[in-house]
Amino acid sequence: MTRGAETAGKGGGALVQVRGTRRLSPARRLHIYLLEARFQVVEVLREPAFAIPTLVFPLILYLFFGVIMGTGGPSLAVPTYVLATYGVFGVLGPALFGFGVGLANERDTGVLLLKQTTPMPVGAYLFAKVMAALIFGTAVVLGLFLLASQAAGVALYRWQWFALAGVLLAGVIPFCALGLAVGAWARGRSAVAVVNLVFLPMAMLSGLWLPVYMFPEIMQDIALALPAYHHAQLALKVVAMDAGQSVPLHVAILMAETLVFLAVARLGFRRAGTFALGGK
Amino acid sequence: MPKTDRPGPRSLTWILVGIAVFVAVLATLPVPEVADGPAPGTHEENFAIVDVTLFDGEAFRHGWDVWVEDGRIRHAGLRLDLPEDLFRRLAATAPDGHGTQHETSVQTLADPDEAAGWVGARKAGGLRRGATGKGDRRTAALTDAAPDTR
Repeated sequence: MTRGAETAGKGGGALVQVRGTRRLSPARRLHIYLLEARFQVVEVLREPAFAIPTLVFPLILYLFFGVIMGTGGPSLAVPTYVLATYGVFGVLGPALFGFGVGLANERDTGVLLLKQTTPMPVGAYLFAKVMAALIFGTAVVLGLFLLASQAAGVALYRWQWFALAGVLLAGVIPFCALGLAVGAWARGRSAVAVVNLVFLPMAMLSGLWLPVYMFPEIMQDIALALPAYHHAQLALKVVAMDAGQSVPLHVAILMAETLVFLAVARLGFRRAGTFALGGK
Repeated sequence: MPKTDRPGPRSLTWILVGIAVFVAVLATLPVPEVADGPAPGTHEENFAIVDVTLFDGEAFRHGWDVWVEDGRIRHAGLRLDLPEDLFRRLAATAPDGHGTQHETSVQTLADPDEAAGWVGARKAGGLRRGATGKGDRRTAALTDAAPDTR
């Protein structure tokens, strides 16, 4: 974006601002990052059609499968299991849709190009998107925890509550990277369909709705390649309900896939950047 | 700093407040009830071993409960909904259900002629006690029992 700002600034006074960005103090940089994050969150909150389903959908699912259908048995295994997996589901949604659909729409409507003409650091834009996904994810996780503890009777050790929250929210990073990759390639109109094509099958195949061992073997093999599966296994490990694979394995796969998504996104940005500057 | 630049620090304040609220809510969420202490000589055939770590063939399961009824395992699972009057043994005090921190209960085949049974094992040192604990009343009760861990 700095390059874009330089391009825009070659004609006049904006050049002064561009030079200014190179001398940003850490405090000033933090200020810009926070400002952009705040506006990003406000923007999302002003879209109830996005905000409300994102927040409420995982809670409704949990109410149905975790509370109404999950309780009454001999143990709290079902509400505890779905607390972990729906937590992953709740974090996955804002990250994928916020990044994937948001980015594609902003590129198509020219908002991204407009931002490129400002001296705002490129990191601020990405930071804002991640923060918005993190804040929404936190709200979903908090809602799920309250619902599970108050309505389903789930009780975890203190360290488990904190660890589960930490693991769930850490999943924002790989899912944002995936959303970035989708958003870098998908067009505005098709972004929702493409994200849904990634979101729903991945949620199902990763065992977020039903345990993976209930699937045919080939579907279990597919699950091993999905980031949501590994994230869910990490969350399930906190409540001792995982499939028994090691934590380093899940973390390593998630990190590797995050890097792959970022590389795919970079390729997409290069392609889109060329396309936009070429007279779109 | 000009007035128009104030949202940045205000955002930081909101983030810090949000983190504080989040941590406070997490700190108030319910935790499992502490089990009764051991009372030797009572409820020999009906009891529950709570908060035990067991290995079910796939993974170590922390914090599970084992409900024994008439000398047989009725259920094993996470946070069983146990009857109020059922005697509860902490894992650390149960003969074959050593505590959750360093030792592990293993459900495994005890005898080819019998069903599965429970043996005690140290996580670090492998099997500590085989499935020959007939002399131990609770071990015997558990060894004779058909497990229902799913």
